[in-house]
Amino acid sequence: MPQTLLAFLAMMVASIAAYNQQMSAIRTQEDRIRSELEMMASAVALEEIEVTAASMSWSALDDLDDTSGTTDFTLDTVSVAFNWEWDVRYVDDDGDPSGTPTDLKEAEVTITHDRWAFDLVVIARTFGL
Amino acid sequence: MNVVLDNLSATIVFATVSFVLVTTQFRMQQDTAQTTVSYMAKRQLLSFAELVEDEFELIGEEVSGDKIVSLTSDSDGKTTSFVFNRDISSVDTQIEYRLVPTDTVQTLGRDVPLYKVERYEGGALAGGGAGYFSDFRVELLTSSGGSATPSTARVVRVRVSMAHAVGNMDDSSVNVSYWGMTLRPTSLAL
Repeated sequence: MPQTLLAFLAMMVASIAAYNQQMSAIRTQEDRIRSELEMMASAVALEEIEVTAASMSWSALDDLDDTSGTTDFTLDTVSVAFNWEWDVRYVDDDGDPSGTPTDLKEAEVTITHDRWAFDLVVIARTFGL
Repeated sequence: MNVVLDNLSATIVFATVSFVLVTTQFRMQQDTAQTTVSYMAKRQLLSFAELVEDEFELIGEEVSGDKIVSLTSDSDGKTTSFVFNRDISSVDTQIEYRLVPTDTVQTLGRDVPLYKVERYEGGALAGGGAGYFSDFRVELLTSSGGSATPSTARVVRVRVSMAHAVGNMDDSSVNVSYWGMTLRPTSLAL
């Protein structure tokens, strides 16, 4: 009987060790995938800032506020769709949001992916009048 | 008879426990190796990205002739050569980023050609990236994101991928790293 219990204990400890290792491997893999997608999301965010926001006039930036859409990161055989959303607000000289109009507008683009509920990348740039 | 059964049970238990522990140990080693390869590949990619980011921002800066000289691509759209001028120590210097094939690896039954991006400064080799790039694309865009020629370009978009080409790529769940950047060199706006 004691031998049986010891054998059961040994198998249980080995199983728990294997389970923990498997969970750790899954977490590592998820982190690596997220890290790769964050790099792609940064590329999409920079493109949005440089092509969309930087090509608009200062007054037209307001039109971007609360707009959203999807842009693909495509390269070789890979194409990943990212969601973006713009937030445009007045800021003061210190970069803090201002309730009253100023000569500075901050355009902030937030990139998300359907796989995760949180924001992957947020990039903001301030444009002067 | 009881002794025989006891020995048999003990052998089965020992074999099972040993198998689970050895498998676990093997998987841990494999995960560690993959993480290391992935980290090294990303480090090389970001090192190249830093070089590109710093240099492309200076395209055409304080030069008297053409700012962007030429951009050539192969049939797949990979950039094979990107030539521009920039100022280095008050001298107009021609810089070329050239894609050079290095090797071919197999992943998921598909041949993936690998490349090296060589950087030439005034015609002489001066830096570049590691030989594991699987794609390198430079695109010239107008201010609003449309296609542009070297003379009408205002925005430069770069996209690069690097294969984690060490060992069997199929063993890894993430075997390619991607990086991209879009920038508006100051001198192109003038």
